[in-house]
Amino acid sequence: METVLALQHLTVRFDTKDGSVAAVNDLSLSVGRGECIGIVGESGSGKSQTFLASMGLLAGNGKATGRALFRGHDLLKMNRDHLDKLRGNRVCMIFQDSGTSLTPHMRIGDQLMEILIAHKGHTPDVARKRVLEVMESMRIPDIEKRLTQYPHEFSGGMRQRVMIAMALLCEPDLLIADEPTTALDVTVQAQILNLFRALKAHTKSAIVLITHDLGVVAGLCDRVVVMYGGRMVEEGPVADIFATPKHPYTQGLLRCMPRLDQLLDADLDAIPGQPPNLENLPKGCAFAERCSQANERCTTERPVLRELSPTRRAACHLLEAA
Amino acid sequence: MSTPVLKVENLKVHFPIKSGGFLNARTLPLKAVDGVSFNVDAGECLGVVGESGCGKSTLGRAVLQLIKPTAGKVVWMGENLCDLSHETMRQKRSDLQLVFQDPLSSLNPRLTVAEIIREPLYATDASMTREEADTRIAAIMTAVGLLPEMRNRYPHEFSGGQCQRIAIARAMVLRPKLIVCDEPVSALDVSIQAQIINLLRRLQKEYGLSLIFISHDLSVVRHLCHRVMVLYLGRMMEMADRDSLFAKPLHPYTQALISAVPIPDPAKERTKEAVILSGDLPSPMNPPSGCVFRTRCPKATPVCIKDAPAIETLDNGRQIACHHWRTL
Amino acid sequence: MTLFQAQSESQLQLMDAAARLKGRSLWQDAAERFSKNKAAMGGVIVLGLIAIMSIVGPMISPYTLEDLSWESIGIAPTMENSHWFGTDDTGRDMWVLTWMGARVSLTIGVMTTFIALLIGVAYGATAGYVGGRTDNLMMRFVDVLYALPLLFFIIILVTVFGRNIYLVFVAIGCVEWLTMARIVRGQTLSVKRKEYIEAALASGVRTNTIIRRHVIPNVIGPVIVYVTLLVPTNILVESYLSFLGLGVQEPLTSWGVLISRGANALETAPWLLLIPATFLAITMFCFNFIGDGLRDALDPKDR
Repeated sequence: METVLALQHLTVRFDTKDGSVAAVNDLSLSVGRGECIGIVGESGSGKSQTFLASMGLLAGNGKATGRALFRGHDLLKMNRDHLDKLRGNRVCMIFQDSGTSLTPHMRIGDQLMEILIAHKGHTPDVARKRVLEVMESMRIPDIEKRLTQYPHEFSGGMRQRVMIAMALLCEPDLLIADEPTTALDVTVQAQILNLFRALKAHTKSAIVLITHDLGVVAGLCDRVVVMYGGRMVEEGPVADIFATPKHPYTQGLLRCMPRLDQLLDADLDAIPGQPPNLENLPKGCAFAERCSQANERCTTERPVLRELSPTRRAACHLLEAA
Repeated sequence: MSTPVLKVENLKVHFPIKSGGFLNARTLPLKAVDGVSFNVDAGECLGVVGESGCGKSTLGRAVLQLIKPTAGKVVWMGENLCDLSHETMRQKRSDLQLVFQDPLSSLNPRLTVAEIIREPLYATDASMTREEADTRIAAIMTAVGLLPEMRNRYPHEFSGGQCQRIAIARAMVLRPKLIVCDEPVSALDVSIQAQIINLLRRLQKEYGLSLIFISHDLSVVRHLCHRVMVLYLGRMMEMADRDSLFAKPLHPYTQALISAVPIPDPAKERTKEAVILSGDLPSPMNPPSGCVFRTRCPKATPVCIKDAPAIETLDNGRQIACHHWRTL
Repeated sequence: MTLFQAQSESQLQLMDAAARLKGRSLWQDAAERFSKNKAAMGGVIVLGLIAIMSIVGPMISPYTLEDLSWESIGIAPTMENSHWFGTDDTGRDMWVLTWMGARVSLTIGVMTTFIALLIGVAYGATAGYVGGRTDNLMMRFVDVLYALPLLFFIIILVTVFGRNIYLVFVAIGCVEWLTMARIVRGQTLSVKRKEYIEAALASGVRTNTIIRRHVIPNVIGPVIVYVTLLVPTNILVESYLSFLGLGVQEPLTSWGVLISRGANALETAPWLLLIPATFLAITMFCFNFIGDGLRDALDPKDR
């Protein structure tokens, strides 16, 4: 499988008044063509910052080191113009609230056509035909009228659909979706997830899905990366991660959710404690103080990510002993 | 578990919304809640589910008289709260409390934890001594899983989950009989959600609390609630006890809602048959004629356009508002 | 054993947390941020010196405000005769005049702001918290007053009541509260929608207590910032009123009066303009630095 994006030892640090804080620490992962990878983690796990950093979209006080190779070119070393050309053409990003990524004073149709005209060099007529084709395939009613409207006339779900339409139009090599359905209602979320499935089936784009919702990951992704405290703690194929989670955090995460398919007439198996404070990470494993299986070594020595099988990696001392 | 403490009858909350231009200005009612009736028993947890804009938060606030209902009755222990004066209602408030979605914004950033929890105590009983208040604060902080030593810290020094515990302590310190929880876990991280859900469940059992649990998350509602009411555009679609509702949803909207919830199991999630609704929620300013759900309903027929379905009550107390539920 | 050790360690951490039990309020945070702001702290120090000198300055000099002398008309600043800032065209000592002027200018600045603050906070908070029709009516009244030109208003006051320093206080205060009321109302509206207000209502807290404990402490931040920016504005307003002959009357003096007279003698005695103008400018800078510092310190975005 051809690798589209490869992150190598990516570290993201932010300068704050209390010193430098590492949001992402020594992260390496790769995404292949046609693959959908799910990045799971809680707030502050570094899941969003990883990809913002890769795309050169960090806040002013942030700095990324390491390498982020997009088809062999290091995005972190790329100049502004080159990066701008990549974004919105070969790399598309969808955020939680896409209202902000659409220009408020341009008609939706014009915005969609502009992408094709600017990036693919289509004539307006061809572009228009293509836009209609894509919108039709997404089963958006009243397309002609919809295309002449402005973003504020669209609901959150419709705007998210427009963003996916954009992704379908450019057929990017890489699509990064950061919590694309978190702000939406479940019935609308189901519609959007269906579109993602269609997108996956019809294009060869690599998809990175950043989310906190394990249900969404289960339905869509091929591979899962679990992050905690700025580090990857586990990685593996989706079926394996859900069937046999290895890292105590992944296990806890799967156990603590109330599930619609299982009725539990007892307390949930909650993970105790609070999410880690990035400004004050412990010396050992970041999860140690919340981990029921932690031993002395966990609090003193940070576990490294090790290969459990050709497809699975996890960072936990307990797995070494087993 | 049989005597209802709260009876809500035909509750309506309409907001006047100005529309039109300068010359044809007129006021239209936004029917946030339109004729909802339900009971809550002592020690019962009633789940209210629905999507954003279905009026579930407004319903919760109308029950507590934080928003004045346009019509209908809210009968608490035999007394209609809607008829009470501001001052009489103020004294009743120690029985009825509220927990919000965003823990941080529901706590005044300028007050310490102890001051936040103490406030309801002094508000309802001005004669309470400081020592007595302090004992109760310490007790309730322990009960919700906070260290009483943290009493002099400020909300911004706590994480989201701890802030929600403070908010719950503030609601619980008066020993209320009913708490309205408005999406109390949806702003929290997954691993923290479970802690708060367990806490609510425990408090509810220990203190025999009645809960109105407002949420869009059906998995949480199923875990926590005894009975569930489904709202859509301010109207009740279906209400049933938890097990029968999730085992066999009768209303097409409930069916769609349940099937849309992603299940964290790849095998099940990829093979399940989902009812995908088309389109978005219609504007509550301009609701569809007849059955409000008909524009998105896969089973809609001409009769749904013409008449709003009446609420039918089945033998087991289950209620449903649909013309076609028998044939589905 | 190891598990036990891990637990005792986490207990240690708990105790560590318990060691700093006294929380840090947002005010303390703001005070710390402010004290780290060099420009703002410099402003505070310089302003403090000017304020002290406005009290002590005239006492140091052997001359008083009434000392006129034919021998010493129009002396440039010198160390001799103790005329450190020189003398004016009537032979009065500029050192004394400058500090007496500072006294009047600062008092007017602070007093008028205080009047504006009192009226503005009460009016704005009421309008914002009550809301609805009352709010609409109250704010339209403010709009009407806004449309009235300040100068026009003061000229009417002066013609009706005669020139009087207290009239200047009232006149400026009565005009400047309008903006204050708008700011307070806006803040109150946004605070009123916060969930902790609703939580307090739901707990049966009385309206007065809600305003005192929840609304005002959360509104006060931007108000403090505006106050520090209003003081220099009012000093400036007074000085242009005095410049136009509508303000403070002789023998009382203010920086505005001094600048006005200095401007007439610019060619022959430039120090008459330069000295009060310099102090006025420094004071303006100080207040603005302090205001900016406070804004940065109290800014909720930084929390």
